[in-house]
Amino acid sequence: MIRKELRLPIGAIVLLSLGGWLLHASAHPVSFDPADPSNPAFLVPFIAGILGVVATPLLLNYRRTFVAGYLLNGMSVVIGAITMAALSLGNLPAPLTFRGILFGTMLSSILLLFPKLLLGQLVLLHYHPNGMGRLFTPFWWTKHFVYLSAIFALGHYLWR
Amino acid sequence: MKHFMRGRVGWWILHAAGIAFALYLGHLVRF
Repeated sequence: MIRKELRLPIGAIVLLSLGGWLLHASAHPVSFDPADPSNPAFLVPFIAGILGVVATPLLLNYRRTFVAGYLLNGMSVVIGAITMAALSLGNLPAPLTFRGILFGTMLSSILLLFPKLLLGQLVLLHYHPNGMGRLFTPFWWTKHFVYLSAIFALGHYLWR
Repeated sequence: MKHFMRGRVGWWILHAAGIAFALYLGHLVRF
């Protein structure tokens, strides 16, 4: 049973993950047909969604394992934001207008992803009301966002 | 968990896995 004080943030994480999982399933269904050459990257949101609904809530529920759940939750947000931003930047609407940026890119999906990061922070503050020192601060997340973006770009441009 | 996060080996495994995953994802995502 999920502990009472964490039911609201964990419930919200589960609902957001389920919604995102369904959105991905409608945008690019994962195919297990060996003849279908669908991109294996489609498996990432498929598996992340299942983990977000099943594994993350359980991991966040116990003091011993909440860091694993917290990282799984937060890193799925960072990876999702980077990948969707990369796909949007690679397929920008032409001509580029303000309206195009708002409605022609995946900006809305990226924004909808970030509440999961904030909810994870609420769970962390439940276990450590004064934070965990230098670990898992907004600066720590920004830093890791920049590092992962740079590594993603390296993989994209150098590994052909 | 605290031990795992502070231990050097755990830290390196986590970072190696993260770097490998992000590199491979960048390689996979085509547009």
